[in-house]
Amino acid sequence: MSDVDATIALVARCRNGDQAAFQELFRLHRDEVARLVHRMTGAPSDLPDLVQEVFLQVFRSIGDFRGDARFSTWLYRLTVNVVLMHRRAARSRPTLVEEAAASAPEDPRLLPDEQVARRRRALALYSLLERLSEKKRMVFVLHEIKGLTPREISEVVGAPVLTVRTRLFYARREVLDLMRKEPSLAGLVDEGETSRRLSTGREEEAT
Amino acid sequence: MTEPANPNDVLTRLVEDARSESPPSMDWDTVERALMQRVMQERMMPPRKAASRPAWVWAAAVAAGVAAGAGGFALKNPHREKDQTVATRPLLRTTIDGSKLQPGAVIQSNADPVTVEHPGRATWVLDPRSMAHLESAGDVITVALDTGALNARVVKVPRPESFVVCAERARIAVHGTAFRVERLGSEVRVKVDEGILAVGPVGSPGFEVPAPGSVVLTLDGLRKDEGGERAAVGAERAGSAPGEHESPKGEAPGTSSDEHPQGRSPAGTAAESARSRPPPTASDPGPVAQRAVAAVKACFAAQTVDESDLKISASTTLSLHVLPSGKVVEARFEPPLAPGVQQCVEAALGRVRFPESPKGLSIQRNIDLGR
Repeated sequence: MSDVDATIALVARCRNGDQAAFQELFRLHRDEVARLVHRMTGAPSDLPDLVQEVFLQVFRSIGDFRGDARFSTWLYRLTVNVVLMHRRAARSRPTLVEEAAASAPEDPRLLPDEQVARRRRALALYSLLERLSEKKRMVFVLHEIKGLTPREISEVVGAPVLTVRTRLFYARREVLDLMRKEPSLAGLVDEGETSRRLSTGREEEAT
Repeated sequence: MTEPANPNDVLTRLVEDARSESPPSMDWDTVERALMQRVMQERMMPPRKAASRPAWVWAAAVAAGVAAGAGGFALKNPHREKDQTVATRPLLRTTIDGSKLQPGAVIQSNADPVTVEHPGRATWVLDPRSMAHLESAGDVITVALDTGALNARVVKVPRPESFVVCAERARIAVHGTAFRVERLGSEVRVKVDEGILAVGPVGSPGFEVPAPGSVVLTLDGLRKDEGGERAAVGAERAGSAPGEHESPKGEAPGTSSDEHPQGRSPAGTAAESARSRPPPTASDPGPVAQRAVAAVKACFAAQTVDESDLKISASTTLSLHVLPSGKVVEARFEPPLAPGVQQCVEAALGRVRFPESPKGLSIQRNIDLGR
């Protein structure tokens, strides 16, 4: 049985109050939810709470899932809402600075230096994204990092596809502008631009 | 490794890095256990009708042990019926086990209420955007309401007063009841739904307010609403009148320091000592300064890492600049404290009022912090 079929069966059982089915549903989708939450927040410390909260919302709302949308889309929508609410609440209280790379799992394919550098770059990106509006940030993360299509995102955020595309366009443009102003990324950006200029210059000389 | 060719490529590279990151490994068994516990509690909740149910009813359900982790869902979820998919709330740790809180712990709510449950004793629900701290948690639970409002339901026990709420120098003590305390500017509004409250200044037995009734107090605990809505039965209890603060009879049992030789935080002690003195006069900013110091200590206790085997200490000098109106305009620490502590202190000091003075005040206090 595929994951989709298994999910459909589990959802039906959950709607009949089958607690074991809910547990199975949790185990089947917890990694996906954790990945999405992680990519939306970039911070590991709140992850367990947020995942738990998402599935509590699943439990509360499963009776209203009619199957009009895919379960994964519905689950993403709940997850996005939970994260948004969490971020709104977090903005109004003091926060502790996340320990960089404190809990990032090791990737056995990378050397430790590369691992740290990658984590640093990812954190730099999340730090840039923090400066976007929630709407732009959300579509950027869902599209660029999570890999959803604009149509899928439109279902998740409840906005027309065209709106999603517009947000994506402006989000990307803002991120690029911010990158030029971000000292920690200036080197990478400058190197990129220098390399592009050199490359263009060589092409002009050749012609 | 080839360098990216342009900013777009740099961005692509960063995105790839973020995309290739896995979430940190989690203890899924713990998460699942906690989740299933909350699910079980939800199942045990009676059907919800959010809009029509007063806060205390829900609090009562919690007090009865029905919904320790349900997080006040019944209190506020007006959109649930309309759109289930957006019925998401940041119910992260919105129910707190009060038995695990140490005196001095600060509880602050954002957009949602926060529930504190003292199993078998009392449950109180802090309204959204309110702040309180626990002053004592021994035989008597004493909660200081710093801002906003709270609803409380207290389990009836043979002890005369088992739960006390303070708002500045106003004291509301109860013996098995349901009530609400709300700070509004320079007033404290108290409404009692069940049982009898003893209300008055700290250190005074005060007067009784039976249910259903309400009373409005000054921040010094004096009555402000003579003849209000089914006004309090002004049965001024025998003994001292409001304003006599040193009456040993009126002292809540739990606020007596010898009842809590251990476990009392500097914050609780400081706040208590500040309240056990007469109200500040224009020439005596001491008690208010002491409250400011207590706030610093409470924030320090609340904002530092809670590791039982970890001792943290710090010394700092707090410099306060106070306007002639009594408002604190600047609070400086030398050396500075952690941003979280300073932010917490600034919020607390925003509500502190010194006595009015012709030229304003500059006050310095050396503070030793520890937890």
